[in-house]
Amino acid sequence: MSELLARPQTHDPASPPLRVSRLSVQFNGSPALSDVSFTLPAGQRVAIVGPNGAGKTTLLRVIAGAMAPSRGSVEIFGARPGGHVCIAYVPQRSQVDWRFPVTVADVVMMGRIRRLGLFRWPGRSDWALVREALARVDMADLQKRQIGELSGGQQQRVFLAQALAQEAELVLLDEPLTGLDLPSQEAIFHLLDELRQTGVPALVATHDLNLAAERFDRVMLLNRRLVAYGPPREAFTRENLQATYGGHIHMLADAGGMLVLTDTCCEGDEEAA
Amino acid sequence: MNGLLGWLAEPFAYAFMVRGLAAALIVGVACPVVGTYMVLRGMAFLGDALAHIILPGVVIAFLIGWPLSVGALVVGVAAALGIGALTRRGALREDAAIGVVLAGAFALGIALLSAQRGYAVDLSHILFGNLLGVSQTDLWQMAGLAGLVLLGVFAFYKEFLVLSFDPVLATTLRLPVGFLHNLLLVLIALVIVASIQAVGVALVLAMLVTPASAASLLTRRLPVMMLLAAGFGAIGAVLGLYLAYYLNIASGPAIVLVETAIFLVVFTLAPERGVLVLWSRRRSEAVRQPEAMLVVYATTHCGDCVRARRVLDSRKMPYRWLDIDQDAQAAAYVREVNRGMESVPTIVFPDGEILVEPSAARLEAKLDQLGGLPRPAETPPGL
Repeated sequence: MSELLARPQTHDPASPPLRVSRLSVQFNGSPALSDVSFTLPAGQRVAIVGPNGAGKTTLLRVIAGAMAPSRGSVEIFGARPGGHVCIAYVPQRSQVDWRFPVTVADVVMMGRIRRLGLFRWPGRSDWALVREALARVDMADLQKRQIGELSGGQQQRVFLAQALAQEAELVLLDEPLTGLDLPSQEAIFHLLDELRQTGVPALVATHDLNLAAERFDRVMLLNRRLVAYGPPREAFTRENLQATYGGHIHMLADAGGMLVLTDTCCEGDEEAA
Repeated sequence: MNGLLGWLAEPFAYAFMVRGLAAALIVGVACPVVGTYMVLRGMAFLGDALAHIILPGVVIAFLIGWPLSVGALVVGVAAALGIGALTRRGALREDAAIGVVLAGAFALGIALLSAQRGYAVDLSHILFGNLLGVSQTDLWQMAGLAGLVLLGVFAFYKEFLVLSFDPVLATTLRLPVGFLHNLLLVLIALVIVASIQAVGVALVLAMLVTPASAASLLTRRLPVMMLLAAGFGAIGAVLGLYLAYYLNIASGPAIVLVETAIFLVVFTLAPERGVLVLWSRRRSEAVRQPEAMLVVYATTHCGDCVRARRVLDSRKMPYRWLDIDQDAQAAAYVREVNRGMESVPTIVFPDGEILVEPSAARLEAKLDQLGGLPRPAETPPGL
């Protein structure tokens, strides 16, 4: 009950949006992440890349507060994630029951319920915010649909709209680009651009190394430990990629730079636990 | 006309029938509203268990002269904590833990009851209810409990909604997930206590889940589902009482039978998800596609899908390729056959067999069995 009534913790404006220190996570005794430390400055867009089972989902879940770390700490604007409602976490799809009797607008409104507070019902301004969020992901005309009647890309955009309606100050996206057609991918980047302009940082797990290199401020190479973290030009070296992907990667050097091919796939990620 | 009115009015010439109707309506409306969450969250077994588990609490409270709801609540909360303790650290699966606690508590209740005189009558009332024996005091108590439960569902509506639809979102929004889950269990326990007098421990599950299940087939909005479920519950209460009066059968089972009949009618005739509609849709599809074709459900970004396509192409096997990111219906189908996961490729063969993420060898073997074109023969060496 006390958690329901607690005010969201106040931010320390001097602290970075996200600071992860010496984070370790174990599943049944085997390490999923070990000793990961980094800070995420305001307004930066960071891609997390790594093979299946590298701990990308685990890292996002720990930052979101959906999973407790074995060791280490996560600070959001200088505070532990306990009382925060400013994080929006969009997991890989297929984790909710799509037959559930809710409309698209209902799902987006769910992002606002902590801002509404206990015993209060959404008012006209809340619904206006929901409609605006849906319009920003180009889904305004589908707001009355049942959530299961949408395609995969549309469902993904509904959850982005939910993050917008939440007025989040830190956005975590798990594989938002996987399996999307180009227009849907562009819609997501368009949104991320808008977020960056308002100073909201985003942490995005992806399999697409080329997109990571071209469209992100920084990349994080992860394989249970942090291999490299920095601007793509500095982090994407032959040594770092080898250390991250081992034998599952092929690099073709040409005059313009390096083309990277990986042999990892999207569905059935073994870290879905 | 007069005859019909007389027929309708006759049972309620008796005060006990009027009280019975009021009691049946109270639980008939309150149960399905809570039951909606149980149906959506797959908690039917837990609800049934809770009904049996609170029996010893009710019996002890009855023996020492406390309100039955207090005894039920104490035992209900203790049982929920006990189940939690048994499943912690993965020692036991939850359904097994619930089974152990359910049977043990129920046996304790029956044992306590069997030491009393008039055991058989009390037992049958507790198991199957005694709607026509409801006193004025009972009625006020039931109304109070039901009111409390409905108030709880209303007050925490949006929190319960998020918890049920997306537990991960509930955690990132820092909702107290454990507290809300336990609150829902307490509300279920309270509505069960209110219902014991009406339909008994053994049948209360039907009041909770049957109208809500019927409603779930008719709507895609949660508030509508709750209202429909409550409406079905009310109809079940009224029709059930007439059935009990004129056929001279026990009132609790009569109400449950009416609710079950409503469910079966909805299940058959529902405009979108009824079996009749699904059957006729399947037939018309079969007519449109006389020759069943191999269907591959896939995404563009999946290595296994590309591999499967290569095998099919190499054998010149005709197939339909459905991208589940573009086609919501296809995605829904894939989730249906893969218990909610969007596993690709999911390949449906003309003979009805389904292979999910098959290896190339497995796919080849299946195609051999179907009698597709043989693998391209290797060129003999030296030619």
